[in-house]
Amino acid sequence: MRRLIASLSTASDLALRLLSLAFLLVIWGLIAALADTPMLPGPGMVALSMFEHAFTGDLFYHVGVTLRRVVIAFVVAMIIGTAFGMLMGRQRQFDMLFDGWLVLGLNIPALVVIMLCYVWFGLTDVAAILAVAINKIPTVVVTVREGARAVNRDLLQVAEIYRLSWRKTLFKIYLPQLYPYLMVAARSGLALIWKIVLVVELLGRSDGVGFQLSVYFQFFDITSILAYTLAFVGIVLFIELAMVRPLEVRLTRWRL
Amino acid sequence: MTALSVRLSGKVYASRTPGCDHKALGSLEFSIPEGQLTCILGPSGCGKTTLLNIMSGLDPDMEGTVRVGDGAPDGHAIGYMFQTPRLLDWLSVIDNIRLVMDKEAIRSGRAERLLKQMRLEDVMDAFPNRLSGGMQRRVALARAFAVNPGVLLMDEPFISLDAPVANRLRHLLLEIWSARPTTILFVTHDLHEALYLADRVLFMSSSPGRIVLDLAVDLRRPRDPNDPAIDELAHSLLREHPKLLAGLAKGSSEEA
Repeated sequence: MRRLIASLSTASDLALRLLSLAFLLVIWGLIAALADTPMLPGPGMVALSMFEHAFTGDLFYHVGVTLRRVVIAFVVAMIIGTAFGMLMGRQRQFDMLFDGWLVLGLNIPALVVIMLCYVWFGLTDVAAILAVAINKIPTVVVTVREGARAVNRDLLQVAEIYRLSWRKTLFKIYLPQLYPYLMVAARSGLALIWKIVLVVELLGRSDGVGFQLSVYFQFFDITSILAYTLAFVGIVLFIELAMVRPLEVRLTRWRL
Repeated sequence: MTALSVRLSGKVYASRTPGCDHKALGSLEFSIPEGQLTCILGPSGCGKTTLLNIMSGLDPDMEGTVRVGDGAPDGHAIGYMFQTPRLLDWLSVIDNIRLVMDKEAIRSGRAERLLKQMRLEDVMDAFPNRLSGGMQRRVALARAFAVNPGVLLMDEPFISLDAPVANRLRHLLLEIWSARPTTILFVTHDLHEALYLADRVLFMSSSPGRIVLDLAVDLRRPRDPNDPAIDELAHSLLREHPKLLAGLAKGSSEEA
């Protein structure tokens, strides 16, 4: 019964979400119709252009390339950021040692990191992904450090008393307490990373959504720009709904 | 056979302000024979938990020696049941028990047997935070027995439960203790509880804690918590040592 009510409420939640999106589309369509200019194409035009790019153009290829960069940069940033965040949250000396780096990392403009990576490591994919990861790592560290500070020491004592292996302690006692923080980091990470990836592509790659956007910008082809953008937003939305959210539900199902 | 012997010359918590160090424990010496259920009783703040943490090895910073027997070949030297259940809310009840066991013990079905003995077989797959306080204690008790400890330390485990629930748990403890002979060191500040449970009671002074009286409890088992003999024993004890519960036995000097 409870499950039924839960699924009903998620169904109505979903309906509300869709309704709100539809409303946005209507507003967009109205404004576009009123403005009547090639600078602001309506949703229908953009959808048509998306289909054209998808089936007669290279949309899938470029979106795929961008997606690959996003995924790699995301994984690298999460792993490194989580490791540092855990260490800094747990050990004061470590925290003091790297806190300055963290402040620097948080405040250095993404653009500067990208430029330096390209200058130092060449216009390569490695440099591009590295630049994106470096931009994201500090925010992951800050979030995970907060989580590591909140880890319950009483439960770590349980691990000590019952002589749990480090593996069990990490995966059964430590990380479950960090999951909420990791989810926050992952959420904001996904959104931030794909935006930076576009900048990286615009500045120094010859493929990917960012590169395509720069091309269409030169032609003032707003319709194509919107088509590419929305295609990628759709994919990020799909990742959020089909992967991140179910994962979150699974990891926090024990909560009351 | 001696399961546990303790010889402490003291325990001091260093303070950041010089001269304000807190002496938590005085000089203490006792040994516990195998299979005995010993209660340590003392006024609150007398260092009972400190003593348990020292014996469990959680707190290695002390002057003296603690010798713990090897326990069973397939068991841990030490089990510890804390004041709060300290269960992992993200693991089901049975997984909480299995977490502390090795693969062989898990395969033998020991976790299921223990939960059955605790009458928890119906909630094996539930998450602990769905259970009542009393049931959570039972899970924690099952976990403590799951490692087959040579010495089981219990730190006021039935505190903050209402009287009937606490009584049932004490009964359950005695039941499982007679089914699985274990050396138990049970800390409490409740005289009636101590006399109902224990073979022997060590009375501690107020801080810094020392042992002021070592009492053998010769009441026949199985015992009834409402047995007037327990109250009689308590009364005669308090007649002889009126300030016993404040940590003073007849003949022990106030300033010591």
